[in-house]
Amino acid sequence: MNKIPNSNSDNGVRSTEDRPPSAPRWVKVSGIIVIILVLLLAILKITGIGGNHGPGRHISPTEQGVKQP
Amino acid sequence: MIMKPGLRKMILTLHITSSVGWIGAVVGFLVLVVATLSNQDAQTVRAAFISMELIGWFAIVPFAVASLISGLVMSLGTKWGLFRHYWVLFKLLLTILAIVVLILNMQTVSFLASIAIEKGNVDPGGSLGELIHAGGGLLVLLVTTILSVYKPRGLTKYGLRKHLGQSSEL
Repeated sequence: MNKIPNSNSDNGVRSTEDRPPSAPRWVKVSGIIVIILVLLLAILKITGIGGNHGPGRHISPTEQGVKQP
Repeated sequence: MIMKPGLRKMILTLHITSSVGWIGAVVGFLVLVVATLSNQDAQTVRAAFISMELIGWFAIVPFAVASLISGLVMSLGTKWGLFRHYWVLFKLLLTILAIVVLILNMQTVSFLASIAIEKGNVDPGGSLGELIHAGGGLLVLLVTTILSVYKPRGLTKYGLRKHLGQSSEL
């Protein structure tokens, strides 16, 4: 059993000369999901599909001069 | 600096309690959001929004901050470290993200509560927005819980350097 988690070496001998192990698959998959979600939010924001965000979103035009959060 | 076992258990108890409390408070908040969506009675909607504001500021936010602080102390005071393991790093980032969104969203909740007090009803989009925010928050908290329980393996580059450094000292 290798002592280094996720080590690429398969001979059971630890070596500092080995290339550092890459990130585990769950980290890569999670990273891709995060990137997709960020891009999705950015697209929603840029295109304006999601509308305004924050308290101002719930103010009707007639109230805007009266009520500010 | 590694904490002594007694102190570690005390901080761990605080961390678990605040994290579980955070999840419970969000579930309570969600129940009230659903009540505002499914009920048109002005008194019920008004009461629900007032309660949502109170739960948000006096239960969810304090539990969230306590969870973050106790988590930081736990990671820095144990062998896990803050940047050594991917699962700890992910938990930290998700917790910070959740707290930032929470604080920003609480401005909206307070605003909606003031509208509800005045009018007895709010824009349905407001309740729907709260459903999305609270639901998303609960999902993030479930992910952090899963990370804490399963502790998926994987050292960061920093963690690997530390691991190799400690091994060479032995």
